[in-house]
Amino acid sequence: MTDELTALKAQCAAQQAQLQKLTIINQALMARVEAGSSAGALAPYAAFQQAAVLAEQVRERTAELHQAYDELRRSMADSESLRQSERWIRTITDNVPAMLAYLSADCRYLFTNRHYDQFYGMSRGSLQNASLLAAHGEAGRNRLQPYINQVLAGDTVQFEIAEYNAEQQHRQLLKSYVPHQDQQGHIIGFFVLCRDITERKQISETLRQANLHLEQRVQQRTAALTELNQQLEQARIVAEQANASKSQFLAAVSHDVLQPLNAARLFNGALVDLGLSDVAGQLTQSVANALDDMAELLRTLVDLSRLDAGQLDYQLTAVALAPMIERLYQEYLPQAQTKGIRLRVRSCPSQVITDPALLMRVMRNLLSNALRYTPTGGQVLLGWRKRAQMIELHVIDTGIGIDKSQYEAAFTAFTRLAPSAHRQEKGLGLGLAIVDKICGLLQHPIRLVSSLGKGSLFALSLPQTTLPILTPIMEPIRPRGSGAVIWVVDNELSICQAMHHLLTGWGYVVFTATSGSALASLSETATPPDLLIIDYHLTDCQPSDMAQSTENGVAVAMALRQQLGVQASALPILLVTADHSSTLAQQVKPWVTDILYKPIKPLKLRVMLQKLLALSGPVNPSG
Amino acid sequence: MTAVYHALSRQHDASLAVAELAAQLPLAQISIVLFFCSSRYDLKQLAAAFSERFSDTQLVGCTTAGEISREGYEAGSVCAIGFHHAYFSCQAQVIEQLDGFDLLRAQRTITPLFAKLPQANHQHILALTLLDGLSSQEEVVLLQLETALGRIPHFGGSAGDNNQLRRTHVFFQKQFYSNAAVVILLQTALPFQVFSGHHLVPRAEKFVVTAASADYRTVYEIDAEPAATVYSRLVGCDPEHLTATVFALHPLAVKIGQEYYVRSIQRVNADGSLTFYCALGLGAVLTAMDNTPMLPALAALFADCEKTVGPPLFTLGCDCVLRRQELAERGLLAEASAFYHENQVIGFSTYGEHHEGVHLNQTFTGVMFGQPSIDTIEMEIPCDR
Repeated sequence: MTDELTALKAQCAAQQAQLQKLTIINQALMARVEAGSSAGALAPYAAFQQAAVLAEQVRERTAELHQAYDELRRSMADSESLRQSERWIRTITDNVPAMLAYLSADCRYLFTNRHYDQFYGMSRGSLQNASLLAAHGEAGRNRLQPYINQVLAGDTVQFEIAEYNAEQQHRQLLKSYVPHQDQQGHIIGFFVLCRDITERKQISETLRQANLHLEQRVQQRTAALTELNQQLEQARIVAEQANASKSQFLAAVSHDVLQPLNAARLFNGALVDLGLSDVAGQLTQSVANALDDMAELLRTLVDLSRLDAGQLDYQLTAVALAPMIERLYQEYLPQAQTKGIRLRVRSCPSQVITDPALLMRVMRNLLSNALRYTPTGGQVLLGWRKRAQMIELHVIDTGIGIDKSQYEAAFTAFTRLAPSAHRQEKGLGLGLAIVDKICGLLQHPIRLVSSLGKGSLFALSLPQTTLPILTPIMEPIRPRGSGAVIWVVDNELSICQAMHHLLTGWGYVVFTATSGSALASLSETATPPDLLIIDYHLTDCQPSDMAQSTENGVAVAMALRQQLGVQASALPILLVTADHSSTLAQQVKPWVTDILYKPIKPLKLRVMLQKLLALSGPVNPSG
Repeated sequence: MTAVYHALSRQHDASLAVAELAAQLPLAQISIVLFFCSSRYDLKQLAAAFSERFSDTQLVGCTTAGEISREGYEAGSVCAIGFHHAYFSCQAQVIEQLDGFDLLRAQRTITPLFAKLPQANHQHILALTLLDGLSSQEEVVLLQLETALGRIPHFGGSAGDNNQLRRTHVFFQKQFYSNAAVVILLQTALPFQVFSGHHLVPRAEKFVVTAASADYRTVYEIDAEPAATVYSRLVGCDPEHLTATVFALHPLAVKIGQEYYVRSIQRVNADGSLTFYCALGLGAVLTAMDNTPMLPALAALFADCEKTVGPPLFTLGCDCVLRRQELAERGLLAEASAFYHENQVIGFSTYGEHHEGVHLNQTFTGVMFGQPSIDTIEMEIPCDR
């Protein structure tokens, strides 16, 4: 117990001591608190405390100050950067090559750049807060007012306007007004952008005028060209018309010129029939020859011009050369014999592509020429040679020849070589021109090798072919006109030829014979006649046999009727006679349909023919 | 151009030492020379030598508990800084008879100094105080000076005597003073930052001073027990083994506002009381503190200052003598010296530091000057001489 009590007492004492300590601490603390609040003499520790508190306050204040200072510095930096950017904007806007301004809604300048001030002659900044009137005046303001109203209504406006600058120069300005809206959408002002477009305008005007001028020039040129074109067209039409006129003229020549010519030949034939004296007979014969030449010449001219006008139709076909060569030989043998020239031909087994009629014309021309320019005792050869795929037809003569320098001229129309030396020869030099043109048309190359005084070689190249021959080789019969067939019998060959030309020209199909025997053979081959024209005096006056055998035309006609086995009404007979006596007329009247007296007038003949053929009823309805 | 000139002499002979200092300083270029000298010097000879060599130069200084030269911690040396007049305008005044120092005297001291500075706008000025470290007048003097200085940044240190704790001195013009203070105003175009820092953190233990002598900084009782007993119990050693090193490693602090202010123990008295380097009053609440690594904390402090001043030109440092004790105890003196050298620190070991009018212990308090920049050259302050 004592231990416990002792322990308790010790504990109690310890607690008491602790309590005492706490009391002292308490007193010390209370003393400190009281000392802190007293205003008495400054004890060192109190001074320290005060200093520490002060220092803390200073630190706090300093921190606040620093913060404030930082903020100030930031805002200063901000305002500095603001000033900097303002300077930048000012620098930039002052150097932009445009006039810039900003106006408040009540039309006061809040901003203008250097160019703007300069344009209106304002010192720098003097427009600040100034009215629009300061720069533009009353009149200027009134001009701008409509645009200002527009921009203040919220529209962006762009317009051109002429103004005078500070130097009183007239300048064209392109102005843009852009409205400035606040957040509520109220218009609080507007931006102005002006560009001086005077120079640009001038340039564009110059360009526009240049353009206009150019357009005018183009139009003029076009008009000129159009006119030229029209002229050309006109010229072409004229040329075509002229060509057509020429063709018409040539047609007239062929029909109308040949007609009186043939008439002349008919009259001349009538003269021969009159049984003139020797001298008169010779003269008559010469006239007949001259007329023949003229007829030939005219025919050639017509052909040539038809070739020139491209009116000559041709049809390429396969043609066997052998019959053609044979025929040419038969045709030209008499002429050669008459002139004492040896004509030889070399037959050809080949066939070629050509127009047979035109080829015949070419060959005839070449052969005629060869015979013409070859003296008596000379030779003419119609031969051929094979060259590659071509057959070359040769017409070789031992004639006067052509100088090499004259080759080209030889083929030109109206050129006759060495005319003085061959004055007596016929022709106008058209033969080779026709040859050249036809060969050009048919694309048959022709070449000439010649030696002056020795002879000539004309070589005509024809494309060889193995195509089957579809048409026989013969000159086509070309019926013209109504196609009524008329047989003409007259002992005078030139009359027959004249009648042939005349009647063919009128559109009849004509067959002629110079004697009763010839007529008899004709009836075997020719188309049966619708009309027979026969000379009463069928005297064979060929100088070769000199025998004067006289035939009665009426008897011949009767014989023909009998031969053909037709009634008198089926074959009208027109008797032609130079004997105007009534005796003859009375004599023959029962046998012939009508009588026509020489010299025959073509008009009368034509009327007669129409009458007779009408009487005989409708004839061959061909054509 | 050099803004400040350093000088150091390890000569024990005062005349030789001053001669060496003079040789290192181009006095014609210098606005003021600030020196820290070991208390081992014969101060009379030293003062005579200074008077002779630096007769035309403003000269201020104090005795130390160790110096910090450009090469780090020194002992028994004298080191000096000359401030180039192109960068610094300086005015200094001595305050004698610190007892009863009041605001009036403070203002009479400070105002003429301001008036002599070329720029009267109080810009770019800092105040440096050197105080007799054994005067026990620091708290009152500093408070009054601080009030007079207003918003001028302020720092300083209390003079030491190599832990002899007999007598400390401040020097002004031609002579050393005891129970005195020197105030120096520096106006400069260089960027600067006044700072103070320590490496101590509070522990849980708290004590109340229950008996103290207000005048002599002696605490008799803590928590109604003999102070030494309580402290010995806290640190875990006998009262007779309490040395400066122990005090350094186991500091006590008072908390005012949000700050802990270390109150360093100077010595243990025979009667079981503790004498502090600073004032402590009845009812003061003491908080036991723990030490964290000192040099990293110092490096962080310097780094903080560099944020303000940029690359440092040099630092004037007042380093508590107990920190030197701690570094010596931990074998970090060389490392610390290297740090000071690296950071161009000049200063001395103090018996207390001053910062914004507050008397501190066991801190590193000073000012860091930044490099002259283009701006500072433009604002260059002309010399008043």
